[in-house]
Amino acid sequence: MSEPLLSIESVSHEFGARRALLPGRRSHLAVDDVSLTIAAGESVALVGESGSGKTTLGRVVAKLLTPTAGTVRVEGRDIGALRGRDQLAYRRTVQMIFQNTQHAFNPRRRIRDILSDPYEIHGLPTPGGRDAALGELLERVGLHPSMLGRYPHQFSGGQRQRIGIARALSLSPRLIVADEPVSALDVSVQAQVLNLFARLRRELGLSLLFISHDLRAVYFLCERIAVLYQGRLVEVAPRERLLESPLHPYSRRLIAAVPGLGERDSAATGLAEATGDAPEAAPDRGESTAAAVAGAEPSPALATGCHYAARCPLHVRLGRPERCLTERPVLRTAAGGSAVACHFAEAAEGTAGTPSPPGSHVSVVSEEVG
Amino acid sequence: MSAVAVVAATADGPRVRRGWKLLVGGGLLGLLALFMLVGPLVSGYDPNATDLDARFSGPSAEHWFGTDDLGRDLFTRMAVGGRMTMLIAVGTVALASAIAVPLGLLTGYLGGWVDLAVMRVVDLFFAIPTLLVAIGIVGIFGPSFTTTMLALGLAFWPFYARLVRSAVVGVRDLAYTDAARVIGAGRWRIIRKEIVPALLPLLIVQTTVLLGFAVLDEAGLGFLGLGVQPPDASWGSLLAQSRGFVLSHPWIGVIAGVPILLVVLGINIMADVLRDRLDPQGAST
Repeated sequence: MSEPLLSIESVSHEFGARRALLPGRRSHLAVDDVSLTIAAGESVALVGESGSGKTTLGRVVAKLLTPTAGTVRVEGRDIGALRGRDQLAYRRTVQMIFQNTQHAFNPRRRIRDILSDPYEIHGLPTPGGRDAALGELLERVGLHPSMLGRYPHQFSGGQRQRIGIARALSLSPRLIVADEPVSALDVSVQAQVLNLFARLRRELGLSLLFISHDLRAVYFLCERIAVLYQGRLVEVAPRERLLESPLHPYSRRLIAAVPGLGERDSAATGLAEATGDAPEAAPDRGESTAAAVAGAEPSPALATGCHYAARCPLHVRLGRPERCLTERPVLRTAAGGSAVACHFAEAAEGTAGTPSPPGSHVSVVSEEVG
Repeated sequence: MSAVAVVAATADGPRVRRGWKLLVGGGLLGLLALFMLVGPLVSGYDPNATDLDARFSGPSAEHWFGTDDLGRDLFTRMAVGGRMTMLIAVGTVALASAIAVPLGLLTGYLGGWVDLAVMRVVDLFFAIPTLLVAIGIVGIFGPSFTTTMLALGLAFWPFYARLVRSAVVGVRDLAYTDAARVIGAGRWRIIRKEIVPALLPLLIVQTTVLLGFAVLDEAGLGFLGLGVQPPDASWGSLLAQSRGFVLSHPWIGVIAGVPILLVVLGINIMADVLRDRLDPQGAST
C-alpha cells in the first residue's frame, strides 16, 4: 500500500510542440512540470482557473494525451509504454467522466449499445445476461433499467452524467478522472451527482481525481486539493488546511473569490483582491502590478522566476524581492502537510492576521529563507 | 425510394411536412424508371433498327417520340439510352465513393502527413474543372462506356473525399469519441461504431447529389462525342446527335434533353427530402 495508485512525475504537456519547430508557430505549455500522487482510495481535487491546464492534466492521466515530458505511473507502471492487452488492463483501472454530457454520448446509439461497449471490448463476463448487468449498472447510479432503450437526448443533463458514471463504473476502475463532472449541471442536480460520487467512493473504495473550479464541490468530495496556476502546481494541501490557511498567494485569492468560503481570507488579503480581482476576471496585463514590475510579463514560457509574480499581491507587499523574478519556486513541504511553490509563503501566513507595513516583513522573510 | 424507408426509421428530429417533395421527386424518378425499364417492350421497336423510309418523322402514334436521321425509334432509344446513362451514373458514384469514403475517413481520422499528402492531391483536382479531368482521362483511354464511368468517377472523388474528411474531423473531436477511447475502443471500432454512423446521413445525401451530377456530366461528355459511341445510345450521345439537326428538326433536341432535366430534378428533390429527414439541424450540403 506504500506505493501510490497514481503517480504523476514531472509531467509537462506542450501543445503544438512539434509544430513549434516551424517559424511563426507558437507552442503553448499547458502543463509545466507537475508532480502529484494519489493513494488508493484517496480523492484529490485539481483546481484552478480556466486555462490553468487542469483538464489537460486529466486527459494525460486518462491517456487521451501523451505528455511531451514526464511519466504517469499507475500501480507503478509507466502508462506511456502500455500497448494492446496491457493498455486495455489500464483502461479497466483508470476511467474518465466528461464535463459536457451532451457530447459525451453518441446521439445515434441507444443507452444499451453505449453501455454494452465496455463489455464487448473487454469481454467482461455477464453471468445473468447482458441486459441484467446493464440494468444493475443503471440502478447503481440511481437510474431505472427500463431506460436502456432510450437515446441520450431523452435524458436530462444530470441523468446523462449518471450514465457517464455508469459507463465508467462498468469496468470496475480503481481511479476515476472526473473532468468538471458537475459544472455543466443545475445547482440542484449538482448536489445529487456529488452525493452519488460520495456514495460510490464509500461503497467501492474508488480513488478520484476530481477536476473542478468549484471549491465547494471540491470541499465536499476531496481529501486533498491541488491548485494549478498556468500549468504549474502552486500548492497541494489537505482540504481543511488549504481552505482555512492557504499558503500560496494564488490559493488565497482563489479561496477569497468564493463567497462564504473565504471570509477570513478576504479580510486578510484585502477587499480589492477579493472582489475586483477574482482569478478568472482579471486579464493579466490590465493589472497595475503587472505594469509596474518591469520584465515580469506573466507568460507561461517564462522559464525563470515565479510565473505568478506579476499578479502577486505578496510580491508587491514584500517590496518586490528579486528572488521571485529570478528563481522558479519549487514545490516544497510546509507546515500542516501542505506543499507550496512560493519562496515567501510563510511571510504570507505571517501577514494574514494583522495587515502591517510591508517593510517590517522583509527582514523576517530573508531570515527564514536565507 | 427504398433509401428513404430505411433511414426514416432512424431519423429522430422533428418531422416537418414535406410530403409534396417526396411525391414529386419520387413520382418523377418512378415514372422515368418505368420508362427506361418497360419502354422498349411497350414500343416494340429495336433501338438500333433503322428505317430509312421514316427518317425524321415527328412524334406520331407510330413513333411516340419520332425518329432520328436513320429512322430509329427515339422512344426506344431514349429508354435504352436512359438505362446506359443511369448505369454510368451509378457506376461513377460507386467508384467515386469507393475511393472517397475510405480516403476521407482515413485522412480525417488519422490527420498528420497522410492527411496533408492526400489533401494536396485533392487541391490539385480542385484547380481543374471536373469535366476537363474527365476529358483528359477519356483522351488517354479512348471513349467507351467503361471509360466514361472511370473518367467521371476519378473526376468526382476529390470533392467527395474532402467532404467526408471534414465531416470526420468534426466528429473525431467530439467528446464521445474520447469517451470511446477511454473505454478502450480501438481505432477501427471507433470508426465503425462512432464515426461512420454519424456520417451516414451525409453519405446518403451526397451520393444522391452526385448521381445527379453524374447524369449531367455523362450528357456533357456524350455531347462532346467523348461518351458512349454509336450505335449504342446514351442520353449524352443522343443529345450529341440531335445537335446536327437542331435547326431543321429541333424537337429531337428537346426529346433528348428533357429527360435529363427531369432525372436531375427528381434526384435533387429526393436529395433535398433525404437531407431534411436525416439532418434535423438543417445543415446544408
